[in-house]
Amino acid sequence: MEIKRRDFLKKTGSLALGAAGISLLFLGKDVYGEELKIRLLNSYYESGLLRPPGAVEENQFLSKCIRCLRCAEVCPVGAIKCADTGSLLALGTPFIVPKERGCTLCMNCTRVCPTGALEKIEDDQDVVRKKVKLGEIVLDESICSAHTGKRKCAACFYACPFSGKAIEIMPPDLKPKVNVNSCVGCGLCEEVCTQGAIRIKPHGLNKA
Amino acid sequence: MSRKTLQTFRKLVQSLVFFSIILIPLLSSYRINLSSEGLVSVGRPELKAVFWCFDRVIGGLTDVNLIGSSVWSVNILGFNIMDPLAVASHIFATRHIYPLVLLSSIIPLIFTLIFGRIFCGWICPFNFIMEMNAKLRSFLQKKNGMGLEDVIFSRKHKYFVLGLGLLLSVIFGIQLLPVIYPPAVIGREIASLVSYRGAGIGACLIILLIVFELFFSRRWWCKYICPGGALYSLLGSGRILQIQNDVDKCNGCLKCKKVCPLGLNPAEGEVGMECTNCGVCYSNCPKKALKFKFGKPGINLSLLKRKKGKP
Repeated sequence: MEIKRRDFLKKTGSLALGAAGISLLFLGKDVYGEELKIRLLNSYYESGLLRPPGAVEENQFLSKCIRCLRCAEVCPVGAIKCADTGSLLALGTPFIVPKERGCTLCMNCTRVCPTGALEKIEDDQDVVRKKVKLGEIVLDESICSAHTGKRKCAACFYACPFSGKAIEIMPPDLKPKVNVNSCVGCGLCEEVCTQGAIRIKPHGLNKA
Repeated sequence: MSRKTLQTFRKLVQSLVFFSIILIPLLSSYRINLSSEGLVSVGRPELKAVFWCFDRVIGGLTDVNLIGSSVWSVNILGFNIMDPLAVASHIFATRHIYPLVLLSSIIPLIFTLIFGRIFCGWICPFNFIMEMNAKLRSFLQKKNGMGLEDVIFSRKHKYFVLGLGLLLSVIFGIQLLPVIYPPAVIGREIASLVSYRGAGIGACLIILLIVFELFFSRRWWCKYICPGGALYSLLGSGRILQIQNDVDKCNGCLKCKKVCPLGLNPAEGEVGMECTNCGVCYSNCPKKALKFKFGKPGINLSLLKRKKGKP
């Protein structure tokens, strides 16, 4: 009886110590940070995740992607992230948070994907413009500083790889205007927008 | 090769694989930083130190994209190799067979058909961690005198897990096994530790498993749950190379049963398709009775039973 109790104490004690040690490893580090906030605000099934370029339709993507993260490994700007808790069954799949880092459209990820979840796309401006569609661009004119008349900005125009086509600015007050059809949804404009007026809306599960 | 060096060699292979799982994300991160913004922009001190070393050793060699990612899916010299479980999961979830994807699992498939569950014993990073964990467990038991339980489950559970995982994949069209399969999880978590701020829920799963196996059940995951192990067992059920007992030499000490990481009994031929061909029993056999042989085992059990009675 005595021995058993001592064993039990030893076991629970070491378990507690281990748990404390493990939580110390994670404490204080910005493990989730901005991502978690973003994902808590828009839960996965409502908004979906913004997939890397060349991604097939979301439903197919979830069935094709084996979550090996080779796309994230070759991303030259570290834009591709790994979905974690909060993304439910999409756990481990790659996605992009343009507010942190937009896609530079190098098409490296489409070349390394072993499963066909990302379809191969040539690294050519015209091909990219025709085939890539990460998400839909949305400009909230009530926040944009040029539209509200706070100041002339045009940061999005200069960040856009297809400026003049996807984003136009109108002199004299440099109000940006977005063309949803010419935009590939790379999110470089969302990255530079100081007001958070531009957002790339992921296709999500609903859109075919 | 002598019997003991086989284990040294195996440990070497395992540590090399584990080391490269850590090194490859670091290398690609180094390459990315060098090609995009330069090393000046690296904020984290530990990464900075590693990159400083890389700079001295392979400085400027930015075109090292020969091998990619973890054991779950690698690219060696431009040839894709995928875990058979990944391919199975892909086929079930997409409900199609893509020839290119199937082709990428051909090398592990051939190895499994010949050697059985060799991936588990020689390559799997999770097995590597758990072997060390089992050592820690026996250390705690022997030196510290802790009475650790060893709860026994049924080995059939893992086939059930594999079946259920694939069934749910078919129903929902979402790959579920990569979420829980430890080699995939470890590769992913190490990669995200290197490139982002920290690890996610997968790391918690691995840590929970380590704690569980340490205190409650020895080698629980590999023996009873692992869907990958189940698939490798099924694929390797008709394996050619097998551990076999030379009954004339065997003295019936059953040391092999004690040392077997998966709790099998090679002396009496109870290896079946579960054996990982790790060779621990082969290296520890005092009479050198256990041998790797091609072909099916034929063991004279009655002779062995007679021997077991002797001291």
